[in-house]
Amino acid sequence: MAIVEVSNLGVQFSAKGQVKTAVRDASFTVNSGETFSLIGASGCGKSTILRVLAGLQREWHGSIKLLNGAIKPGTRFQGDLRRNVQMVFQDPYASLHPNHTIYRTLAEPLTIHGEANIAARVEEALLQVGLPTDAMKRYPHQLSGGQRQRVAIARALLLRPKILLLDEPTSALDMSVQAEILNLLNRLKLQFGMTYLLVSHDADVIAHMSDRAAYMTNGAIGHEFDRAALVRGEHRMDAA
Amino acid sequence: MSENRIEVSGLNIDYPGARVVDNLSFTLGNERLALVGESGSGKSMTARALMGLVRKPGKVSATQLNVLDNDLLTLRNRDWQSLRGNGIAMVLQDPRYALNPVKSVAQQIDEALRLHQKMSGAQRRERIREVIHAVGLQENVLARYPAELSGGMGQRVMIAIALVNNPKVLIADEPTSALDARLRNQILELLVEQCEQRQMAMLLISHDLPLVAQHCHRVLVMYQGQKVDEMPANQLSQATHSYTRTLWTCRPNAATYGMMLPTLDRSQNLQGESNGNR
Repeated sequence: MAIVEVSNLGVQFSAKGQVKTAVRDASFTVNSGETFSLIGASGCGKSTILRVLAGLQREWHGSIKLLNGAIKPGTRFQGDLRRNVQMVFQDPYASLHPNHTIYRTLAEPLTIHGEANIAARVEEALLQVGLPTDAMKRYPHQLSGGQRQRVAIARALLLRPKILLLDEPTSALDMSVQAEILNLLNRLKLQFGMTYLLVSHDADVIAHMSDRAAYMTNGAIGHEFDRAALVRGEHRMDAA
Repeated sequence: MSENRIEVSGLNIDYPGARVVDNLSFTLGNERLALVGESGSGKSMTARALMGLVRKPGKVSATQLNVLDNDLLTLRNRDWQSLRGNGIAMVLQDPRYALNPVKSVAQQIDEALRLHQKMSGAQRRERIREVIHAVGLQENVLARYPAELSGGMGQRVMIAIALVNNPKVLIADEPTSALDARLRNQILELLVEQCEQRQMAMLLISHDLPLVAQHCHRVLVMYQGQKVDEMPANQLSQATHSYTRTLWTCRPNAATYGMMLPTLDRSQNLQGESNGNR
């Protein structure tokens, strides 16, 4: 069952009279429960697609259905969508508020959504991503890069989203920490039955994580690859 | 590999409250040595000690710390000036931060030449042209500013600055981790090619063991400031040390789909293990 349906998506940025097309005519679907990946070199528009699906980039055209409801350009997400679609950003050094403790960062989405038992939920979320509960008293600069990315994942998971958007979740991390984060993501996916939309430029990460993947160049989606094609390595950019 | 260009034994680097490099010993001949470990393992600090760039309150001490027969522990500022650039040069991680944003590429390469060589303007221009071609760029790049370069081009410019004085030893500190996957091999191949051409030794620092192993003769693995393993790169697949094995196998690929990747048990003490390859 398709949980994300994107057809003919286009995104343009204009600055100083110049128009830059970041995404052109992109169409794809993501089925419930799978990991679908976008692969491409820097600047190919893959992160822009994620930002559209997260409701951060509201200027776009085409048609998008998220969780069987159509979303419209120029509008903010309403209702359950705000809970059901969450995003993990690339750089764990930039995505956490430097002056807020981990507790404040994690409690904020719960407070906004009027949830109860906030302290207990924050504690539970930290344990789920393998952090000690006393980490909640710390500030981001007191954690390592891998620990910060765990906090970012914990924040995204607190509202029990159905779709998790992952924008290069491990490219700022060491190889050995990357292995820990990828394991964590796969374990949580099984546990909570989420759907992942993963963006990465690392063909190895894509091959390890994805059920299906699509290759992007210059804002357009080219080939799609199924599991067999990923095993054969057809998605590698130097070969494509 | 007869003469050693770098000789380090018993190197300690201390900061108040923490020892970041602990009793490290290694040598570098005319070869390529990979220094591998996670962030915080002390590999970059080791490189900084070799360049004399450990700032206060950091303290460097060692029983021996020699680069090209200069004793770094007693070197005066003027001698540092002649050693850096000509003897030993360094390529940093991220060209977006390491290049001067308000100087053109030509000015930045020229600065390295003027500080270390006595050459006429025409000779310097000739040398700059040579080095920019050597790193695979066109001459039109020379007039540009760092903001007008892509990540890969910026990294090539940094390599050009390091190479322009023909150093005997090049230290490359994570030269590829700010780049995307496709560019990584290109840059490493460029470094290897230049090492061969110039008979230059290289100390390549990285957290990606499989990637650097393809491009180096030997590998030295660090964990929490200490050397835990050292072996020829072609024997890595038979590594017995658990930390080396984890670094070697934790790279995901198509075959690991649906499986958990090997990770480190950070509670264990890795120093106790012995390794036959040492």
